[in-house]
Amino acid sequence: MRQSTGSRLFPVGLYATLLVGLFGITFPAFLAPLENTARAVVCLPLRAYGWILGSGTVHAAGGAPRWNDALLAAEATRALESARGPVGYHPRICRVRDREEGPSGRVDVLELAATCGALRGAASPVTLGPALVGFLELGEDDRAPARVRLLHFQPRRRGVPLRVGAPTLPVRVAAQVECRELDARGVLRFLVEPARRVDPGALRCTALDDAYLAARLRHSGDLATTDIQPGDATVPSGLQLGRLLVFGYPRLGIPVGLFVEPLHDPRAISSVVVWGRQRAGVEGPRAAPLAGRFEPVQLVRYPAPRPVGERWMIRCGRSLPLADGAALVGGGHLLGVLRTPWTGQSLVTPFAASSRMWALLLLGPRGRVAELVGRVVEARGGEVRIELSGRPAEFAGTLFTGANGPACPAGLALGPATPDASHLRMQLSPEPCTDPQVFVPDAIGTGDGR
Amino acid sequence: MMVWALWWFGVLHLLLLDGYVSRLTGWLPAPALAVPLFCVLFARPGALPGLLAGAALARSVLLEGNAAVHVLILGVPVAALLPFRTVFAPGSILWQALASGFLAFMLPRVASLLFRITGEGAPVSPATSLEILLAMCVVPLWTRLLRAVPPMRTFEDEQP
Repeated sequence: MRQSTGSRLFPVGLYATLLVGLFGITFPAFLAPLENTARAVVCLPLRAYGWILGSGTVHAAGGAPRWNDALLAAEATRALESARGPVGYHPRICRVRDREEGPSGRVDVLELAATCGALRGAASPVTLGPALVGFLELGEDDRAPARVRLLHFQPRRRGVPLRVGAPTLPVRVAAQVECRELDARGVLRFLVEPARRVDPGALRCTALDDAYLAARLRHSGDLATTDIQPGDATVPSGLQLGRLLVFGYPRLGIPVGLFVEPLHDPRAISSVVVWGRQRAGVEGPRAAPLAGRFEPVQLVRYPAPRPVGERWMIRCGRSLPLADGAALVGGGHLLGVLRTPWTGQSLVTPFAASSRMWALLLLGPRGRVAELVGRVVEARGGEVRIELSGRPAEFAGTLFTGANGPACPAGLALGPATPDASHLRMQLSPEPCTDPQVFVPDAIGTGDGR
Repeated sequence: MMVWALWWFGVLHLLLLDGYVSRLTGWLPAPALAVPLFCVLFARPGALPGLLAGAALARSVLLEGNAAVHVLILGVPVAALLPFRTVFAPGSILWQALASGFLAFMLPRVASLLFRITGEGAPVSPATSLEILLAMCVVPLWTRLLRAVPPMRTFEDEQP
């Protein structure tokens, strides 16, 4: 049957397909099961080629990972540097296992690699160095992972809020900042609460005790610290909250609002200090890496279109539950992460071809360590250029992964890195990978999470 | 049915060939550009959803991003060029070259735009003038080769 010109030039099927695509990017979780099934079917030829071409020998058993002791020690030193906690409590360093993004679009919950039962009785404030990071949240289930609500945590709304009446107030922290400007001197006291998505800072200052002093502020950057908390005696005063941000037209004498930007990027935090009643063991309060083991796999490389260049596929010797985002290591270095795994096989995104945000740890000379967040923007000739988000790197050193999910733990080596303005240049390992292994995490409650 | 199964499995091999060619020579245009050009010039309108879905799924296997993103990366330029079928004849060399250049220009930009909005996929460098010129010359040849594969005849538009 001859179609009309209009239906041939503007076919309904094509536009319906585009609408489905728009729906898919708006609600990716809705189409994910269907897409994963279709992708597994389309990948059947690759799976067959993997069986034929699979390289390397599958060993009988995997092994425990070897972690960099210098990095663990440097992280512990940094976490406990100038740390202050409640009186009668002792510090315990806990690994960050996962993160959760809130309604504001910022990460505002950290999931720890320790159970609620292991941290029962711990104090509410969670610190990192001299800074207050958030508050400990322990559920009723002792086996559930403990969580940290960051200072800018916003409650999750489920469904349509029908209740009218008194609104739920956000968690507020009493704070103070010492103003040192020529015509604005003194201590300004206020409350900080979570800011909105459109606000320039993560925390908003409210209930200022001296509006006239606040109105004379011109410069941002002063350090805000905790004041005495009337509702929580366990929060010491003097803990750092962040840098004061004067928003508006301060040079014209019109500051519109005051905000506080936390010192630590929540996307980069890999370990925090929880204050418990029990003193740490003989080794001191060092954070053990995430409990897990590395399982050997076979690795097959396929050519891929630009800009990726190469796509990998792994096959396990045994049927193991492979996690999406699990780390693939080889030769002591992170090679990439698993993507859409199915039983016994998975596609792998090489680190140099990944476009996701990475939490990173840069270990420098004399035990210096920096927590960074960045994305790979260029990979050429064995060198990778990482664009950092937020704080730039101040020294050269060895780059490691930060906490990038339950199956991609902190402490996996990447390579030597040097700073380049707001970027990092990192050298990839030139040695061919002869022993690819996948990280399989243990359940929470074993290892560090006792 | 068999033809569709061949397409859904075959387009993955076309992308593998694309990757292999990219490894050999960095300057040759991607053979995978033949797929959207075929959709613009020769494909039956009723076959476009299946062609684009299969190509998007194959791209999601070998490239970053989910299939929905790749549907939009391929489908938006195709939808933009499809109405020009009334102006140009599919056999016109000028039309094939212009469409190839447009696709080489638009695909990386749509991919980067969607990456900025959704975070899916990967940022792609915009094509240089030389790359667009090479695409205008070479991609019509890739499309001619693609049309020579027997199953593709089933997807061609019989109406002029």
